[in-house]
Amino acid sequence: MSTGQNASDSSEKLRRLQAVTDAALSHLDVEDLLVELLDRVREILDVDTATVLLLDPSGQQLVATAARGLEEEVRQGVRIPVGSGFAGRVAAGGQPVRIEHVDPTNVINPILLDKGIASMLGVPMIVAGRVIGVLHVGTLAPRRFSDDDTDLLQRVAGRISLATQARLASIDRATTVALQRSLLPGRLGAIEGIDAAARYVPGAEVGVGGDWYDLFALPSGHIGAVIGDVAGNGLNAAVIMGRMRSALRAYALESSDPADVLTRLDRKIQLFEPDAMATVIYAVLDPARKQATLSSAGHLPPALAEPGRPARLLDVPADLPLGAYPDTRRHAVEVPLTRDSLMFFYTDGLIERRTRPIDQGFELLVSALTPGPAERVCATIMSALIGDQTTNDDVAILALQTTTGS
Amino acid sequence: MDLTVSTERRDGGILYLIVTGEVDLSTAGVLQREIVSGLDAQDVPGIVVDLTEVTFLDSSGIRVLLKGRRSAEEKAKSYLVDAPRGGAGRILDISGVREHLAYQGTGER
Repeated sequence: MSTGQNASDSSEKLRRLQAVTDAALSHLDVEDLLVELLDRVREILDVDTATVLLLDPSGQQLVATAARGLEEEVRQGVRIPVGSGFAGRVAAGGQPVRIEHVDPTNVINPILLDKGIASMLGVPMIVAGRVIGVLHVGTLAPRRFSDDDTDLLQRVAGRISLATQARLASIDRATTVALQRSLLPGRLGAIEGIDAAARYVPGAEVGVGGDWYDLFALPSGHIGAVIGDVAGNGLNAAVIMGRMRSALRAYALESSDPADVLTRLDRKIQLFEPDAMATVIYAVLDPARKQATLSSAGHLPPALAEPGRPARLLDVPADLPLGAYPDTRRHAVEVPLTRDSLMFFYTDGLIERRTRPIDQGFELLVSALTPGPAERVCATIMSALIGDQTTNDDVAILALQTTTGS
Repeated sequence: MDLTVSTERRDGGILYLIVTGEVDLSTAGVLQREIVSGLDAQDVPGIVVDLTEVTFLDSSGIRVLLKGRRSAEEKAKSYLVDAPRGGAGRILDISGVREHLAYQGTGER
């Protein structure tokens, strides 16, 4: 067979693969999509097995994600450390690896040996210069894979990588939105003595991020209110946000001092999420004593609107964000809560703009803030500070209007 | 949404990172890499992150500055963030981090 024939042969084979990477398969999840593609790979390369292993989020291990002819790899959850074994060498080197005679010296995965795989060819899956996984094929009869085979598999891997990455990204986005939605209810539960409302809007640039708000009644009769912003965006930030939210609730049951609650939360983050950082305000409202106690971990100051007075930013000195340094000393301040006053919490996306100094954002906020029904306050503030613009960063706000007292 | 970092060695080998532009989620990684590689260099006794020409700094930028201070301490190298009160320094003040960003190294100096 001449090289020219080979080339047109390859192109024809790639076209057949292309037929399955198109939009017709867009409803499939990643595993099903890969299985479809691997069937084509087996056909066009005339091999017995085809397997995709994707790099896990740690970047240290390859996880068998889809396989044809070697389904047990996926069923048994095979994990291969980057750098060792056959697939691990492909990922570590970022180069194709050929094995003519498979034996225990060149593979570590017992399934390959048990299955009687004789020869293997593996190529890295690369997106934007980064290895995201490994595609390998194998034959039961000994075979010397040619340079043409390698070239074809490499091109196939390029196409599969793009399809996989796109699908993973869209699944990540959908999961993130679902997670945010479940953690940030549009309507807050009714709590006696408080009229509350909140908003969350994803950012145009960052998408769904790590902003959150929370409101809960405590057995002591106090009310806990939280606003927070986990650094980063996407699924990772949303997952960490979910953990912080539930840990803060747990510590809120243990202690009525917001500085103590944030100290415990900080200690937990330093130990279990060492790369995470978050700004948070935790406020404990005591309707009976008409006061609120607040502690701020690096968060922008809340605002207070009282009847008959201009709204103002509360002087809540910010301690360091959670996750910054171990053993940070934290403080709490007390604020009187008169009847019908409105406390307003927000994240930086509400007021920070590239086009103006932050103090102008604060001024816009306090001049638009008046006591009133919490839903109306949220609508007014979103209209005044966001209007018809899209914001780059995500935005969360929480408005609390006190309704009890004499 | 641009960020540039230029470097200069002054004052006995101290590495100055002169940051210009906007530090946000999309650019904070650039600053982080510069800080990390500066602190990693054997012959750098300390670094100064100069934010005078920074027009926007958000929480992702603050996170990078705090992480830098933490790794400076681990490597016993001096670390200073220089930001004008009116510009990027304002957000550092509001966030309560400014006074925590300086570290005096105990290295060769």
